[in-house]
Amino acid sequence: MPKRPGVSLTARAFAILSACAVVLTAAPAKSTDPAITRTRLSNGLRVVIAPEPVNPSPLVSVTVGYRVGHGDDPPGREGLAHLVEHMMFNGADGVADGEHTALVAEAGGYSTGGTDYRYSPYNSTVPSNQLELVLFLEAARMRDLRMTQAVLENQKKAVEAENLPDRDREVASPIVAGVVAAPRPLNIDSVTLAEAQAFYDRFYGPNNAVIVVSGDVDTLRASRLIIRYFAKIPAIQLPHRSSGVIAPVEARHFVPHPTRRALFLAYPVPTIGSREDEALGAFAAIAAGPDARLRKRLVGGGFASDVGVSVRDAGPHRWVVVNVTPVSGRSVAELEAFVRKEVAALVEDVPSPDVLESHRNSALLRHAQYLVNPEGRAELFVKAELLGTGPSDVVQRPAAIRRLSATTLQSIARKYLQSPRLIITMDKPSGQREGRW
Amino acid sequence: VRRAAFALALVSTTALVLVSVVNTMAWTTSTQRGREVLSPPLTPLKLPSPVRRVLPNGVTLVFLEDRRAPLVTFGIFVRNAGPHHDPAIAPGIAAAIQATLRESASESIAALVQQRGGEIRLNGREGHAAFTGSSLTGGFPALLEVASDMVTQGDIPRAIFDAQYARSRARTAGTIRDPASGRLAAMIFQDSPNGTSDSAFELALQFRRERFLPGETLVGITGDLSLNDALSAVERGFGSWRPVAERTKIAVPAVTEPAPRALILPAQGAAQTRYTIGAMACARTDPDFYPMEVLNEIIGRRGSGRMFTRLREQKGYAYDPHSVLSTALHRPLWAALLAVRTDISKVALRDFFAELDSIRTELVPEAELQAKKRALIAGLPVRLESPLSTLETHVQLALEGLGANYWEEYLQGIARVTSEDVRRVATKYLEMKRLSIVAVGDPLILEPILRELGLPVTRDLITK
Repeated sequence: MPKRPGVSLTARAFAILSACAVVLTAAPAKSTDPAITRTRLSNGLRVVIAPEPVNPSPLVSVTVGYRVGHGDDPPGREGLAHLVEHMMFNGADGVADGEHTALVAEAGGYSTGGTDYRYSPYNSTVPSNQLELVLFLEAARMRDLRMTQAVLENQKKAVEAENLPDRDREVASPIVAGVVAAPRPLNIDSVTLAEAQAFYDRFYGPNNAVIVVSGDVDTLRASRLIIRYFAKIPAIQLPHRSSGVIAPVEARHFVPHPTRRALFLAYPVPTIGSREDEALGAFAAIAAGPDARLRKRLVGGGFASDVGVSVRDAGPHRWVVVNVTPVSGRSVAELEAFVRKEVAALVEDVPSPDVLESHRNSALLRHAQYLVNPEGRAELFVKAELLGTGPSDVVQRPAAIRRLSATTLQSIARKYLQSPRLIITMDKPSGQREGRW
Repeated sequence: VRRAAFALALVSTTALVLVSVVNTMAWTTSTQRGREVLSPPLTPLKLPSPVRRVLPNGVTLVFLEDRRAPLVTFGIFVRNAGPHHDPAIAPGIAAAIQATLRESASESIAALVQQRGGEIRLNGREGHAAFTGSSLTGGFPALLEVASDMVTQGDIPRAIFDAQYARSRARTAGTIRDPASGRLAAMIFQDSPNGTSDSAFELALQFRRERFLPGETLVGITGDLSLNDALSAVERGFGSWRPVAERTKIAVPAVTEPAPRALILPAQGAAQTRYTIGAMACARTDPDFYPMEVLNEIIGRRGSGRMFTRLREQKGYAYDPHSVLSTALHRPLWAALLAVRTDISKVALRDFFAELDSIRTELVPEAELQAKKRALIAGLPVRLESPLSTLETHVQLALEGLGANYWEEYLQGIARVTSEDVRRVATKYLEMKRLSIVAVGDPLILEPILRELGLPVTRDLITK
């Protein structure tokens, strides 16, 4: 079993990384766990090595996260990011077609990929003595993915097959789909090899990625291997991203659905990693709880059969989404007005100390459950690095949860929930009859 | 200091050393650069060894310290009280009993969760009942107390049981989202669809009385606590538990191999057809198990088996074609799962059977065999990926009647498998004349396809 990293070892590893890296932090993740090393190579690749202080499972998890996702699909090519994610498991420089997954499997591990709205994580979890294999494979496909027409055509079918269960449901535009959890459009039939290659070239470079090595890992050895395999990969020209400012006007949408009826009010909130992130999650969890005012007024008052509040990523933004299942016969306009009024009144709904404590315990439990799963732990660090402020988001989260107060939640409601920007109704394709649910 | 001491103890207490087995296996040579660069022999890996303690009443504690997070995960496993032991006339009764015990304790659980955080879930399957949970370290003693009360003293109120039994029967009757696997097992093991809640309630009381016994119970605990703390919690929760019935010898009727048939669960106009295809297999204690395990890896490993590489990567038929091998003592089952576009469902099924035919008639190439054996052997540590899977890996030995050094035997057993062994078990277990099929999709399209295979075809008999 590798030695456990202590401060001196971490410092040595950091020195090695620094030798060919542009250092982002003055010391290894000063504000987080001292065992966590965080740096950036000269080609822009962000590196986080997060050994577990005590690790009974001899496993290491490597996740490479790229800052590319559904949100980067060109208009008319919805699903392209997902298609390229599938192609990432085919051949690359020094790796035969289809060999990537087989090599990881033969080493006793597994590999997965995913496409989120804003990022795409590629994870491999292997016995810890197989770390080098994974780093080699990840570097190969970051450096030079091999795309062929045959692979492209087969992966189009595979992506379509993955989305088949959604075929019988209505498809909504990407932002609306994110808010109401409806299927997204898929438009990949006519994607050409050149388009797929251009998409890969545009986004899959070291300066648009982070690599996280987590679990039973020797920091010094991992640092050397990362330099060996990744340091010479050239940087790419990073794509320009719009700031995604939300216009201060309301947008209305109707989503047809064969069986489901619902009203969604979506309020824009700061993206993940903001100082208010923890409080936003707590607000959503508590706002529609069994004893919350919102539930009592809407369900108890006979307006709705159910109500939920969640925080969702959709479009380039994050939203607090209030999701109401209406009672039959109610006026659509009347329900919307009532829900608006009740949401605005949430500032009066101060959670009791017991409710707040219950939420804190649940949130701490979920966080701890992620930390003891190698893949889950690695992905926490990837999200924190790509979308948040860095490893401190993960390490300091328990403290942030414990700091939550009723006053903070009230201020969230006051600040963000006064006026929705998206109002979405979902009903049968024929829509509401005579303005009633 | 305590954590450092534990880390040292962990290194010194080895359960398994993989290296000796793995390094005797040839690593395939290849002209591919990936293999040339990355073919070092696997170095030694030491797996943590749990501590076992048995209380005077027979309850067994399986404990593994894990200080990575302020978290404790536990599982209460009761042998011979799982779904495989359902009385023939009341399928679904074991699941209903577990759900009833959980539901009866729901107020206590909710109050506790409200105060301290935590969760208790039902995870019973195959031959055993299981209640698993996790909590923050501080909340663990109280949560285990609630869970132990539920198992040792929990009632079976009639009203709750009836509701849970109706749900359980609905599940076996195929009215939930993915019914095919359960229906395939029900077909192969010839479960009776005719249970009634009148007889079921009396049977449930008897089942509860005779099968939830201290000597049949294992409590697995892993997390941020010491052995002494874990043992104290188990003694408080289970120490005074006395059986209300004599331990009865569990007799399981031998199941005769059924004639294969096809069942259609109708989904008119569905864009996708889901096939579940399988046959009775062998238990882990059977000498055929090792070649079956390798055979399953070759055919159906997710991401690298033949189903995946040929049906998805080469043909693009399906997103996640794979197969599973369940080695439960009394109902061992092999099943392949294939979800395809309805318009290509015939050709996809044909190609799937061609793969099965190939593995029955041709020897698996040596390179492929070695790669798959290596994957199984080297992959043992991945079973310890989460606290719950770690517990289950250790507890599985007792649940399936395997020795304490079973995982070492497993490595040796896999290493011994030859291509001829694989062909032999493929012929023995996966012959066309043994395979049954459950298909979820459009009956008008599916019926002629399935009849062409020569199978008697029925449509959703249980729910009609």
